[in-house]
Amino acid sequence: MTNALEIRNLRKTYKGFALKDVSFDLPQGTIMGLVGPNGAGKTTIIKSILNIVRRDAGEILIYGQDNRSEEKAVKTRIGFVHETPGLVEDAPLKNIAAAVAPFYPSWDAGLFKRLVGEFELPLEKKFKKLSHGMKMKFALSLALAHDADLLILDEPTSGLDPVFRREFLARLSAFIQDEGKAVLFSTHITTDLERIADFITLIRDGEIMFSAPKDDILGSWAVVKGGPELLRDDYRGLFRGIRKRDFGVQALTDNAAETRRRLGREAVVENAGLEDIMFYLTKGNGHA
Amino acid sequence: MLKICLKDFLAARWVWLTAGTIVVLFVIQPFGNILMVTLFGAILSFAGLLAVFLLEDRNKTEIFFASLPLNRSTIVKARYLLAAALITTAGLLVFGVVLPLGEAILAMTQVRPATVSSARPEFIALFILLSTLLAVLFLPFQHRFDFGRGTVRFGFTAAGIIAVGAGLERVTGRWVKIPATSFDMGNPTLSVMGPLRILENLHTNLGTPLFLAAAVGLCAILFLLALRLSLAGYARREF
Repeated sequence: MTNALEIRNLRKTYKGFALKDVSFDLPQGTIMGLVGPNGAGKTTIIKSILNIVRRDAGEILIYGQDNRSEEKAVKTRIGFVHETPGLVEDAPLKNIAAAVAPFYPSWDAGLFKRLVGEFELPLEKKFKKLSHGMKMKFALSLALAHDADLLILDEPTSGLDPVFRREFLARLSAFIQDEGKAVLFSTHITTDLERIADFITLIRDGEIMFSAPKDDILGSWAVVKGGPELLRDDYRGLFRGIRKRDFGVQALTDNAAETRRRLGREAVVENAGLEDIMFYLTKGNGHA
Repeated sequence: MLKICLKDFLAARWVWLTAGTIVVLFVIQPFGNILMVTLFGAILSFAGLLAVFLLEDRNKTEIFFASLPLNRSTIVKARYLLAAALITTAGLLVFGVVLPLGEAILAMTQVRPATVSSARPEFIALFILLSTLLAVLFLPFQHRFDFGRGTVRFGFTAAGIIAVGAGLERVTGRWVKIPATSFDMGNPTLSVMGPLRILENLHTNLGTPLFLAAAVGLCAILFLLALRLSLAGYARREF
């Protein structure tokens, strides 16, 4: 089956920042979390997919179609939700929907009405009068109502309260019940990803650190806690990041089984969460 | 393209309505003269276009707009269609509706409004040319840059063109004598009188239909040149 999204050797250079040969695949029927610190390149990747920044090199395929040569067809299949949805502030929601609907041949007015009811959106109200959470829900309704196959969400949950966030995530999980659909979801809130993502792609300084199934990552990465002996040269190869602390040494490994076998009782090896992984990989080696 | 125009209409209609109302009030007030009405009409069409980009910038809708299933070239062409529609609407409003209305309303009074009979083809041509010049200078900068940077560049370029035009008029005026016309009876010191005299002489030589066709043709050529620049600029644009 074709991947919902394939990115190969994507490059984009700005003054002081560059995406370096970014490659990853997003299979159909899955949710991928694109995670990394601020300024890592998440938004640049998303903008490149939408062709609103021009890539310098590489290839981006959406359901097998090039996002530049087939721009219109590709964008018909994409639903996009930005961190701060930019829509006409002074217009009532019903007018915004009326302006957006004609652009999509597959716009489903019935589905939009259902979503509006489900999210309790006041169609007569002006967009500027909505809370941030309601704005996100409205943006999601617009993205879903044209029967998008690939949902692209740029930091959608930042600034949402926990209740809204859960509701939002539940909607994304429901979306991929149709096996042909997929979600790419950039965030730095790792708990959201632990809850719903199937794949995790970590980016740092414009470079992909890894892109793999979440379960594989959580099963094989671990935090190792021990004394200064962890700094020995024959152990260093096991670790992807080491932090020296006042009371010992903590390290991150991507091979928990091998680390447990070699270190035995010399250290404590605990399963790593996504936040641990992000912390060690983005902060690198250092003293804390 | 019409879908994009509809979207812009929904976003800017209240601004357009307000601007239109101001023009109506201005044109029917008793101190209006046809030259001011013409200039005001041109500014109105430009203000309508400016409002679309200003609102897009203020609402930060550009990224969402760029994510819609549209080719970049379609977006640019739609904006030119919109500009042409605004110029046509402003022209019809000023010369076709408001002037006759003002004349009818004030016919019974002692005051002398700008009138339909004073709206000679030279003023219509001046309106079309001025509106077009403003649009074709503005749009390429807006498509290549964002609103802020685009507007600053447009402002400097427009100021430069006005300065060069005024300088040229002064220099050529010493050697080239444009025949005096009926416009000189009004206010001969106005710098717009030079172009008006040229227009009247052209009108006399070409006759009304050919004269207006030539004005529209020139505007079409300017639009096409600006469209090419905008297409090239927007293809390189990043958000």
